[in-house]
Amino acid sequence: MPHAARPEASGGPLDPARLYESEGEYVWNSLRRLGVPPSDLEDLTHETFVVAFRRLPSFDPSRPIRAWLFGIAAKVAGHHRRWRLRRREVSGDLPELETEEQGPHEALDERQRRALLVHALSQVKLERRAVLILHEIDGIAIPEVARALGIPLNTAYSRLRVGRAELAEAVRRAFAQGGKNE
Amino acid sequence: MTREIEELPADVKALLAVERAPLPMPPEVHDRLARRVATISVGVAALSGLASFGERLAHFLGRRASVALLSFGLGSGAGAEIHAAVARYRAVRHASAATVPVPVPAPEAPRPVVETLAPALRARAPAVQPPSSSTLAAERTVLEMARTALTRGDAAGALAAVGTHAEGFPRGELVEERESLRVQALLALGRRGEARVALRQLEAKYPKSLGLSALKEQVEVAPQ
Repeated sequence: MPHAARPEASGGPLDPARLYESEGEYVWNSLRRLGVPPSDLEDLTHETFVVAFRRLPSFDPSRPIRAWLFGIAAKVAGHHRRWRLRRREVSGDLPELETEEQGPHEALDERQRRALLVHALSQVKLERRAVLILHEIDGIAIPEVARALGIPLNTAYSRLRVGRAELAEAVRRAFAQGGKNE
Repeated sequence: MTREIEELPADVKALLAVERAPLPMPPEVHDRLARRVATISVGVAALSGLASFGERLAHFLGRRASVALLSFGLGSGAGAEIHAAVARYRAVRHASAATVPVPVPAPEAPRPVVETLAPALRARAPAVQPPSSSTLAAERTVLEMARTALTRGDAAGALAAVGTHAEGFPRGELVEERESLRVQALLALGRRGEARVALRQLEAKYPKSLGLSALKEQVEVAPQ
């Protein structure tokens, strides 16, 4: 189970000046997984910390700070996606995998696997994508996922169930698309 | 309640396993963001609840002899608030012989921020703790006061808190942060010349200080 940072473990993330040092990379990776394009990752990481610092007093240190930060990052990513949709900048195309042997995932290197997964995740509705990332990648238990995202527990389980099915289908499609490109 | 949720296929699990290791952030992005974030954190509005700050300081000071910090001449409003918080803390502390977490006494008005932070402070105040971590906590607390004052537009209060830190922790662990706050407080007071000198000293001592470039810009654009 991946490590979920807790305040007491990271030397006091309640201190804003140190929060970035301990969790900056996590936030940046979370936004990337949520489908934020590379060109916007830096600005949205910054924005996530702006919001996080503003909300710091309401953070309950008995909870995993990463789940809390992810909840903020997911909202920031959601706002950004809506803004991009209005500007018609969102594309559903599979990103170029830059390989001569697209198709079987065994043939993909690590970077390509990451790209394929992020693309597949992007095919899952954002609200379910957030649950999938927090639970399947960050290893956060579903009750905590529900708290971090501010949704009822049953809704979190429901999003996990549907999200898993959608992700599996998206991965199948991505592999099939890669195969056709060969 | 039983929740039957279908497992993910093995190939999807394999993809997820790769992604569990974070992708390293490009160093230039990391450094750029660190500078940008440092600039935000100095002015963080969230820490500006002076009442909650007083409570937090009371917790820190209540468990260490660093209560002497309070006599260093804080701004009158902040000082009174902190003294009141310390008094409340001590009253409860003395009323209870328990070594387990001490509940924060209810203030005159509901203070949700305090209630939220209190468990954290109790969690961070075990019976046995190395003195150094407590000292660091006290250092942080004083500097938070400076930030809080800056956020409220009370540059004089911020400078006073910086002075408090300098007097209490001349060779503390957060000197770099303190001197950065000093520059900002001086700028906010319109004392650009002194800010420039303070910035020069900060740069000489901490040439790789994260907020240095942002501070330089602020000093450059500040009115004479």
